[in-house]
Amino acid sequence: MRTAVIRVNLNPAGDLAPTRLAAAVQALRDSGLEVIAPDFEKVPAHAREIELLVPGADIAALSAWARDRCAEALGGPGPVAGAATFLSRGTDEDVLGVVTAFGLTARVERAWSNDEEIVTVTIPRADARRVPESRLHTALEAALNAEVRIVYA
Amino acid sequence: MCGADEIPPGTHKVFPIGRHGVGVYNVSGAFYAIANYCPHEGGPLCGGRVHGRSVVSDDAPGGAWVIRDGEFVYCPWHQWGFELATGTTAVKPEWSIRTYPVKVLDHKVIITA
Repeated sequence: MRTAVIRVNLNPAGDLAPTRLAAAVQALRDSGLEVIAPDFEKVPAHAREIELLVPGADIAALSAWARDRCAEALGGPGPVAGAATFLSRGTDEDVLGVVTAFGLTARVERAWSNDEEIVTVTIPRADARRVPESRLHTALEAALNAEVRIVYA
Repeated sequence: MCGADEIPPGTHKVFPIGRHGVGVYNVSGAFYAIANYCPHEGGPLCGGRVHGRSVVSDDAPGGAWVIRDGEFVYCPWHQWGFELATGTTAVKPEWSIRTYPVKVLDHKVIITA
């Protein structure tokens, strides 16, 4: 399963004390969540954003869930979910996630040659014109850190 | 990969892992590992500067704050910035740079695939 990075602005109004925000982050961590948070004393009041790393792929559902968990930890409404991204650990799911983000579908095959992994990503020929191959190729090589071969079928 | 003291806070080392190498960064004592490849045009990401993220703010000198200093790497080719902890940027959600879990055991830095 992929891991989503859900960004949540804990306090867009900027009216809460940094200590209260830090306590909310600690409550989230104590509940078992992996949270990336800044030192709230060192960020402007309107940019009190944290990130929750959660398993899943449904961005809308995860964002709503993350927002509600943050509100619960903070003791009231106010948090707003922002942009969401996904970690890549180089799995087939990560490959398919990147491909899906470009609006495509694909089949993934892996092979080894001289101790180097080669990942073949097969895209339906009908989709070939929709996305520049070089854009997709660099995105996939970054997500995999392996040689990527894109073929159309 | 190496001793933890070989990568002091604020520094990094690149190791020959995978097709493009992996940069291991020490951010205030926390270690992160990220592929040395920018998803924009394939630049050598880990050759770029490490910095914070700019946040627009009317009350800051120059109109922007820099927050979370040292937690982002900027590709030397076109200055695309990525969070070291996640290998992602909110600017381009479809991009995810491969990251690797890092452990420190007996003062040794260990990267797992």
